[in-house]
Parts: sequence; structure tokens; C-alpha cells
Amino acid sequence: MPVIELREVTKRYGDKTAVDRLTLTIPDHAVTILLGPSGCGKTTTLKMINRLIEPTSGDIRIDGRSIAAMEPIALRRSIGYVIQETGLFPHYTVEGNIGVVPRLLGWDRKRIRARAEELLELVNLKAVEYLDRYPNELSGGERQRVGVARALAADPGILLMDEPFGAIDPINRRSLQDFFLGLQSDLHRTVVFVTHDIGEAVKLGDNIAIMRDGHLVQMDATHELLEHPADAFVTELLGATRSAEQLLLSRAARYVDTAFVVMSTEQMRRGGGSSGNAPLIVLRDGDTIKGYVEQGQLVTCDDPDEAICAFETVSGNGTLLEVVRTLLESGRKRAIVVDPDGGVLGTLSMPMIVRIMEGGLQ
Amino acid sequence: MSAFRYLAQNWPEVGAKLSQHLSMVGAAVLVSLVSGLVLGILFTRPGLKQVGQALVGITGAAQAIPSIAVIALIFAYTGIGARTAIIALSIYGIVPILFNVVSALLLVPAEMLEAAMGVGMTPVQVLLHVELPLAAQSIVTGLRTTVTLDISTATVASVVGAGGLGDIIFVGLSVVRPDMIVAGTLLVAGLAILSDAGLALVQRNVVSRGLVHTP
Repeated sequence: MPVIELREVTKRYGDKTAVDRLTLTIPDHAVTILLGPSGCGKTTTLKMINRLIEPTSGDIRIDGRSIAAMEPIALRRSIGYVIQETGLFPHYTVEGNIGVVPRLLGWDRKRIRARAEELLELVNLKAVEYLDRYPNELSGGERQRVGVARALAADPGILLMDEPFGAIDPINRRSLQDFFLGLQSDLHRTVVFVTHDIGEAVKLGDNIAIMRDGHLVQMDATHELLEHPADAFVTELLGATRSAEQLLLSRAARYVDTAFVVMSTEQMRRGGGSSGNAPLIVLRDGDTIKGYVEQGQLVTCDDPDEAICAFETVSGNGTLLEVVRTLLESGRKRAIVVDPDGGVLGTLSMPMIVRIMEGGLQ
Repeated sequence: MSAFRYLAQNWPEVGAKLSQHLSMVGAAVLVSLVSGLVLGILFTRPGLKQVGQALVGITGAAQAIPSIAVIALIFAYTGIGARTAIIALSIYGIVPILFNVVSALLLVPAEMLEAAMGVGMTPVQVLLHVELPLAAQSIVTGLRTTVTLDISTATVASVVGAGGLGDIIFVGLSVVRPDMIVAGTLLVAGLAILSDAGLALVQRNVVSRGLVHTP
């Protein structure tokens, strides 16, 4: 799969410089976000990769091959291109839209139909229901899914996405972003994604390249960028997102609730099950954590196993984000945070994390 | 009623006039359509769009020129006969088609063109698969205007000896036969209504369902 390299790429319009000596390596199999205020040159940069815009000077290489030497039409057919919802052809059905590139490549009708069905399945739309619909018969979110399906039609290694979810309302945008992340975790394409939405960038990007006035300000892995912004511009751009993200990316051990007591199931069976003022009892036998018991539910018990709440164990070295993910995925109320030796550091629950974030963001 | 009697009694002659009228209009519409499309496409290509924009203004205003003026002007060069009528109708009929082709092609959103190029269409493919289908509704509307205009204007072309249904009306006028005038008028109107209905059907078939507003 391809790596995209931009070397000293400059684009001038008259005496206005849209992109100024941009050097950037976009790694393969990952989502790289081009982020910056409007007019920073991010869209121009994207369009130079499929030669919708020709650079004034500099070189762009895909897998080491200069794209200037490639045939632009063939280059574009080999790259998926997703733009805002206006990008669907209104006079084509969903099948027609998805089949655009395959038709240009000369696939036969049956193969195109099969591919369209497969891709609709992939983007979670029922083929029988959607193949023959026109874009004006779809919701904004559905149109965008079809747009992504169209870009994937000829199985391109590279996807260029130009503010694809920009015209969608916030709630649907979030679900499209989740959909895209799920898709990408299966497909591992090399994605270049333009947005001016910092939240979207942090959520979707493995890497973020921040641009300003045609220059590259900083390009880093997303967590690196959040933790070590290169300068005041980046800090300000990331703003509140940065503090929220930073909080979530800090170590869980720092925030654990230590109001608990540990006792063995044997102790409890013997009737020693009082946690005093602590809200919680963690039960363990030797090295094995059996579970926890909320205060009040049980003080003494003949068979503690029955009253024990299911739980997840997380490492104190993990991030708060990982704790949130673990809780959401497992549906458990509480996670028991342990140190590398298996010692209980404390517990975390969703309401607690929400309180931590509220406190941290003020 | 006497108009119908006239038609029934003089059918072979009337039929000949009708077919003259039809071939005159048919030839002119064909020339107008082809040249209107070619010019319209040409003047909406990158680099020539400003010419196209100017053309929208010019053709908009040109629709105000009376048809008889065009026929008279061509007559001054080519004299009596159907040729004069066909040339005049062709020129006159370009105007609505060119106006609609140019304005519809200019209205295709730039993002749509970019999407088409972005997926790897050649300029010709962009034109055939995106621009013309998106402009189809408007282009056929222009064609309908031209056909209706030509059918009525061809009647006037009788004065330059072009033949056609106008002959019936003008003869009726000179010998004061209202039945002939009405008969000729009925045929011209019927022809215009029928051909417009036919083109409405064509329009429904060439315009994608995706472009028709669904409530």
C-alpha cells in the first residue's frame, strides 16, 4: 500500500501562495488529517495529490513514483475521492454512482452490480433497498455512505476525503465518523482527510498535519500532537479539545477512586464483610480478583459469589480513554484498576470519569 | 364548419402544403439544434465561459427580434424560395436553443465537475455523462420553444415563396375566404400542439428521474 510523499510542493495563484514549500510524508495504512483554518492550503494540497490541481513546483510521489509522470486520468481512477454530499451525481442511481469508476475502467454490467451490492453491504445499506434509488431520495448520511462506497468501488489503496462529513448535522456526523473508523479498521487504506473540525481530526486521525498560510506547522501522531504542540498556534487551534483529549489520554492511575477495602471471600463468608465508610469492597483470593460488592448491598453473606458484581480489570498505566472504551464495550458499571503486580489501585466508573472531565475542563 | 369542409375537399393540396411545412421546419430545427448544441458546448468550455456568459445576455435579448425581420433580411440575400425560409428559421431557431444550452451548462455546479474529474473522467466523459444529462431538461425546453416558434414562423415564410401552410392562409386573405384562413390556422396550431406534446414525452424520457423533484 502506498506512501505519499510531498517534497517542497508549492502552489501559487498569481502572486498569492496557497501552498508554500510543503514537505510531508503521509504514511500508509493510516488516516492522516490535514487540519487548519480555511485558506491554509489543506484542500489545495489534497487536490494536488490526484492532480485536480497541478503544483507550481515541487514533487509528489506515490510509492516512490512521481505523479507528474503518471497519466492524470489513470491516477484519479486509482485513487478514491470523497467530497461533500454534492459529489454524488444526481442523475445516477446509487448503483450508477457506485459504478462510475468501474464503468470507466470497462467492467461488465454484472460485475459492477455485484460490486455495488457488496459495497452497500459494507457501508451498512441494504442493497435491495438502495441500488435503484436516486441521491435525492436519500438522507444526508446515506448519501455520504454511498459517497464512501463509490470511492472504494475500484478498491483503491488511497482515499482522499475533502471535508466529507462537513454538511451533515452533528449527531449524524458522529455516527458517520464511527462508521468510517470501523470501515478503516477493516480496510486499512491510506487516507488523507481534510477537515477544519478539530474534534473530527482528533477522533479520526492517526496522524495530524496542521497547516497555516500554506505552511506545515506540525505533523505528528495524534497523541504526540496533543501532548506536545509545537507552538502557540497549534496550542490555540487545539484549544478545548486538547484539554479534553489530554485528560482522556492521561494515566488512569492518577484518577482512581481509592475509597474501597480489599478482603478475601473467606473473610466475607466468615461475616467480616463491612467496608466501614468505604463505598466498596473488593474481594480477592490470593492473586485473583473475584469481584466487588457495592456497600449496602451486602454486609455479611454466606455465598458472596452470588452478590458479586461483574467487572473489568484495567491497567493503571492505561489511559482514561481506554477505561472508557473498556466500560462501554463490556457494558460493566465499574472497572478495577490494578498495578502491574496485580495490586488493586482503586476503581473507576463512567459517572466518575464524567466528573473528572467536568472538573478538568473548567 | 366550413373550414373543415375546405380541408376535406382540398385534401391532396392541403396535404402537400402540410408536408412542405413539415420538411421546412424539420430541416431548420435540425440545423438549429446541431449548431446550438455545438456552439453552446464550445462556449461553456474552460477559458471560453465568459463568451458563454455574454451569449446568455445576447440570446436573451435576441429573442425579442421579430421573425419577419430575419426572414426579410435573409430574403435580401437569397431571394424567393424555401431555401430562404430554412436559412432564416435556422438562424432564428438557434436563439432559444443556444440560450438554454449555454445557461444550463453554465449552471452545472463547479463541485459536480470537479467530482467528475476527481473520479477520473476525461473532459469528453464529463460532458457526456455529467454536463449534458444535467442540462437535458433545459436543452429540451429550448428545443420545444424553437419547434413551436418555427412552426408558426414558417407560416409567415409563405411571403417569400417558401410554400407551406402559410400559403393557405395568405391565399385565403387575398381572396377573402375566412374558411381557408381558419383551416390554415387550425393546422398550424394543431401541428404546434402535437409536436410540443411529443417533445414533452421525449423530455420525460431523457431527463433522469433523479433530477425530477420528488415531493
